[in-house]
Amino acid sequence: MTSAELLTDWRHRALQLQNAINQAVIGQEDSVAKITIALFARGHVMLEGDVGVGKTTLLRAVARTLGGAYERIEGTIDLMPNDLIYHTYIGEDGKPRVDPGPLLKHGEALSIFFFNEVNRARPQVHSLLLRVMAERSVSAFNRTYAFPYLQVFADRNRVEKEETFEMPSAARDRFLMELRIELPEDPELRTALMFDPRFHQVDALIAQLPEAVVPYREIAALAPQIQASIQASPALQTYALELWQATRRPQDYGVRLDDVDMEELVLAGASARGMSMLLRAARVHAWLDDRDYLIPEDIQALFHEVIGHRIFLTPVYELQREQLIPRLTRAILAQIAAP
Amino acid sequence: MRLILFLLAFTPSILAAAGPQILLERRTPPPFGHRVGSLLTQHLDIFAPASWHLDPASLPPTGPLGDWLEIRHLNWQTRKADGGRRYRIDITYQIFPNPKESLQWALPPVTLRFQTPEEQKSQTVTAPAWPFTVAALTDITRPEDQIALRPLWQSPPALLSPYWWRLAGLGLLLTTLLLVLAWHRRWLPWQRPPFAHRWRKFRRALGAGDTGAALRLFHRALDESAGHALFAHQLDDFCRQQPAFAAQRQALQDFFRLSRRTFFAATPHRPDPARIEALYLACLQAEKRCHS
Repeated sequence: MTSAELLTDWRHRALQLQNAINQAVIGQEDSVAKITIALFARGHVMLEGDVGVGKTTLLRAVARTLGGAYERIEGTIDLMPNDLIYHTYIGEDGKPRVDPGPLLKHGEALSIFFFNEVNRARPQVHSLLLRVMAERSVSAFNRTYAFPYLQVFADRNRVEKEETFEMPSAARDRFLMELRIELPEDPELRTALMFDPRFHQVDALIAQLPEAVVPYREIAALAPQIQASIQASPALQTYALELWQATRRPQDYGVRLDDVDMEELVLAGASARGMSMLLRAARVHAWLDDRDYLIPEDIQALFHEVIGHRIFLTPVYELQREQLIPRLTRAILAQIAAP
Repeated sequence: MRLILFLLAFTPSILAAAGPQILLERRTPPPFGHRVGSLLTQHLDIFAPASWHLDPASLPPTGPLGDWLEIRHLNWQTRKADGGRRYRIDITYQIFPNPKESLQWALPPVTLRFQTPEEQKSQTVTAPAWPFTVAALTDITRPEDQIALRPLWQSPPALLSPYWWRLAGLGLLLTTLLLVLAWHRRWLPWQRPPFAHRWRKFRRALGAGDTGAALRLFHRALDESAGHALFAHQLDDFCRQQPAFAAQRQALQDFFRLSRRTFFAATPHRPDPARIEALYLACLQAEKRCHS
């Protein structure tokens, strides 16, 4: 099979994966599409959303269709890094026992690791999580455990501020995208979620999904081929560069927000790593759209999710971040033209 | 002093032929008090009997008469009177030399010829030389080294600033009124609709074969019409907000497809200039409908 045929075959599988997940999690087509992009861009995702909107179901569906192991851990204030690695207890024979923790339990087969309410955990735990995300490995018991197929999904508690530890900027920059999971707007879908028994039994719902539609072990090798197959023209590069610069000094590009002093708004714009991740995700978007070149719409489709959490506001505006960042990213996209 | 001469002039030939009586009367300025640059005018009033007329070729020509004298003007006119014809001839001389002391000079004699209609007979009449005195411009009793040149006389400067201020105010008022009118009528270049504003540049770019620049101008016109950077997936919203463009939706879709292949495709496409121009013209028409 030639490289082009291989990419076409994988594209069909990726679309099958999306369709399968959309069967279990209704009304989340956009989020599912972006998670699919994150999978093939090999990036970690921060999920945001209210309680009970289907984040766990969504991730279990992804793990099922990928075929890898799925683990989930709840962030709590007393959670320590070791709790992710091992679990100690006294066995029935009265002797101490040490079992592998959520990270080590499945070894290399771990494909989806979901850290719920990550900002309830202490910074020491964040530190461990960052290493796992960056290096896909962890040291324990005098050896290094590798997780070559791991994708981390985390959820942030946005409601409570007490006993929480906001993740530092560097940690948020490690996530490819921050994705907001909302309830579907369509009343029919909301009614189905309430009354259709299929959605009440999550285990049964997930079990109905086809397994390993996209074999998780092969994604790591495929991802570089996808990146290499998508071209970026000079005009597109100019557009991406202007977007990047506009995140740093939006006022220089005529970006205006009502009731905001643009000179005082942005403390730091997108990082080089952030823009690199944006283009990586955009290339996957183009590949899923069956194109071998990038267009501005590929970047626009992911701009807010990939770049929004990488723009840091000055303290006077930071408390309004939830309202200002979506307005800012929309205004930047509306102001920067291409070609 | 006024000198009046009555002359009855007969040439010997005419005396012999007992020709008609041609009367000449001369009036001159006073024969003194003239200096360098002075103008002297002698007036000749001539009566010629019927059937006699002045030969204009006998009038002295204007121009220099020597180193010191020049005829500046010569006017003459004639009318019928007293059964004959009267002539009025005014000759203005100007004198040039600046003598150190008063001198006696004379205007040269003026001889005029009269003829019958068929030029069978002719007769001349002459105003004799007229002597006059030319005085020195400076005081001849004063040594030259004591004569100082006085500065040229100049009129006192008029106070023009109030007029300038009024003129400036009027100009400002007129300019403001013109600007208001132009703004009201949307004549100012930046007030013209986006497609019309860029039409010349667009044509120039296409004419120069720079289809890339032409497409970019097209994009900027669309962006300005939409009020933001417009992309293909926003066309539906754009057509809803600008209903005049709704009829051009297909043309705009074609344009974005063309632009995408030109600027972003892995193997760039060279668009047909005629097609781009046709698309632009379609949008120009839509814009006119929008602003009419």
